[in-house]
Amino acid sequence: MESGTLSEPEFAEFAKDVTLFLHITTRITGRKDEDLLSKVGGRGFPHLVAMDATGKLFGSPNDRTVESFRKLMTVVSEYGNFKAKAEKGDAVAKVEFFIRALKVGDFKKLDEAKKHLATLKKVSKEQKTEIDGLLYGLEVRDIVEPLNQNKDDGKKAELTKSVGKKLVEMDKAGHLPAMDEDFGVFYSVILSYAEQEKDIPLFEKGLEALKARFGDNLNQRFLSAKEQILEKMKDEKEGK
Amino acid sequence: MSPFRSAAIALAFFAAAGDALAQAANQDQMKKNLEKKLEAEFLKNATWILDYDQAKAESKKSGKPIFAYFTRSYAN
Repeated sequence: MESGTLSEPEFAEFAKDVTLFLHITTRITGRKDEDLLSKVGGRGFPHLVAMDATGKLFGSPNDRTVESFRKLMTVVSEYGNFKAKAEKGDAVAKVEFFIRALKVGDFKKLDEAKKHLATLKKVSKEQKTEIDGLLYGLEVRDIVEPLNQNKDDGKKAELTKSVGKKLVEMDKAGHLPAMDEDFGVFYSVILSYAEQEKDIPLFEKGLEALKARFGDNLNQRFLSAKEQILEKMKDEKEGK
Repeated sequence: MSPFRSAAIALAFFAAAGDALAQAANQDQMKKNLEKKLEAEFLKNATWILDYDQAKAESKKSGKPIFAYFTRSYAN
């Protein structure tokens, strides 16, 4: 990346609109902020992350292109701009800021987000649709939490069933999470549930939904494993 | 003190001194690695701030968000 994207003239142009910060982990004893990488959630090198002036984190770019860098930094700028306007009492900005806050994960719980939404005025139809998709994401996180927290293999099947049923209800109602991460979790759990229940049409629907959403970005090992499971389910049904 | 205990203490002392020397040499190497990293060509393509607090202060002053790149100098 250093001899690639970071050395391109396009990156130099991009740099004019941002504050560039370089952190080097040196293993020099006592050096200031030596452990900053782990504090910002980095697990390896290289690590790219967007922040605001307070150090609030806004995630990493989807890939290592200047175009992705720009998209990410736009999120940070918009968040800051709408926040400033919302704090001055601008009703429209309050809604836009709420949307950005949901996107960057400021709200961890659905109840908390719904309470905040109830305080907002002037929510347009388009904004409501966008907010709904983001709230469905929080709902998914709440629903799958017992499954994520579970460490008892003996309870896994039972939890997959109860969680899966709830997600399938959401799916039937068209309540699909807007954010990629939530969408991925949503259909991954549905796939596990469908496999467990030997529900071939549901498994196929979940797999197609993931393919349609992520395309070539879908982890090929994951895709291949799921396609094998689907084939096995079909063979078993046909008594092979 | 028995001759064996004296020898054990002396060995422990030399081992500790050896570790300290090795650590000092290692730290010198880490500093050289950092110097080399700071000469990297990509750093000449744009202006990078190397201090976290300074980056935040600059971001506050300019209103430009921070794009942070984390790398390492201790190994390639």
